[in-house]
Amino acid sequence: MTEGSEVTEHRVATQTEIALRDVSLSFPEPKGTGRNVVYEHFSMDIAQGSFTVLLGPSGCGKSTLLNVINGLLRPTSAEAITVEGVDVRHNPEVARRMAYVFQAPRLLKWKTLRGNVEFGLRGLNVQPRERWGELIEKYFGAVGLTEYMDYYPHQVSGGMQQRVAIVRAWANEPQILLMDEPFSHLDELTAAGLRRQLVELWMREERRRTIVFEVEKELRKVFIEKAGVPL
Amino acid sequence: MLIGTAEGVKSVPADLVTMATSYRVGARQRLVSLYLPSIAPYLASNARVAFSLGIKIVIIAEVIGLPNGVGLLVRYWSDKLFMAPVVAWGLLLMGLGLAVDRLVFAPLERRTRQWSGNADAATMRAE
Repeated sequence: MTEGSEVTEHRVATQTEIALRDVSLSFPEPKGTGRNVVYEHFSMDIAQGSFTVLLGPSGCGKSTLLNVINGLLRPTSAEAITVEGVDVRHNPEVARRMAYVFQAPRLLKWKTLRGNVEFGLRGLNVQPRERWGELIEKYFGAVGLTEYMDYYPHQVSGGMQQRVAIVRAWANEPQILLMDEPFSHLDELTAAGLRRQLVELWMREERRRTIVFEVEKELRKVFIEKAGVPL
Repeated sequence: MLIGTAEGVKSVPADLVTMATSYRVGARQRLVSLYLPSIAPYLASNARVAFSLGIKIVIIAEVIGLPNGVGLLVRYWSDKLFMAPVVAWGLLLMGLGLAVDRLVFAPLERRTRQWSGNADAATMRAE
């Protein structure tokens, strides 16, 4: 990754869940013949059950890294990008073990909040249909939105929409949760509340999920303190 | 219709497509839950325009060469230089077109816009 970025990891277990080996990624520059290098021979391991925070200034390649892990973006070259030892490039099904929370909620405006969560459940298709109701109730309850499940996105605030995006990911009970600055466009009070809720949700789990969370450097103190993650 | 629908497909927000890809949403669910609601307003608008153009084209075709229909009557009375039935048919067709547009296509278009979230719905901020 580019200069100024760093990775802080709170290790709970030591088994590697995600491994990146010798990843290089560059894009052709819009003008001219040069290439914009994002990563060059980049490697990292992320432990199972860890809460890994990617810190770095805007444009350093944090989101790109999540896209590479999720299989949304293919690197220019890489020796391996594995989840539990399975390379995501050769086995796209392994990506069903991950759920992604984006910077913006990215909800479907024509579906209710419940419908949006069902959209994610139907897509990843890792939870049996008979469990959907229970999972939806559980995670809407966890973020305090039970009474809003039948509202449409335009009927609730941005903070509530972002909570629904978290529910959409979490309801799949994925092994890995990728979070791309999910609270960056919210006001600090709402963001602080959501960070607290996220950490509480994570701490409450019996078998903790692996979370890869990215945040801009300016916010690190706020987040790290809330998360109780040692630097 | 085809060009308008193609434009509608192009207007599907890229961030929603990426979200659907990250959730490994299949082709059928993508079509039903993502593309169709996104392009529904375009389909309704295009159907509205196609209907009004279609009526005109059918009448002109009847006037020019078909052996029956409203166009034939219009041409018959027009050839006789008896304009009252021509004007009456014109007004009737205008009224019919307007009625179908207002009673069928306008609500359909409004409905699809609301469905796809493009209407200026009164935003209720609950927080």
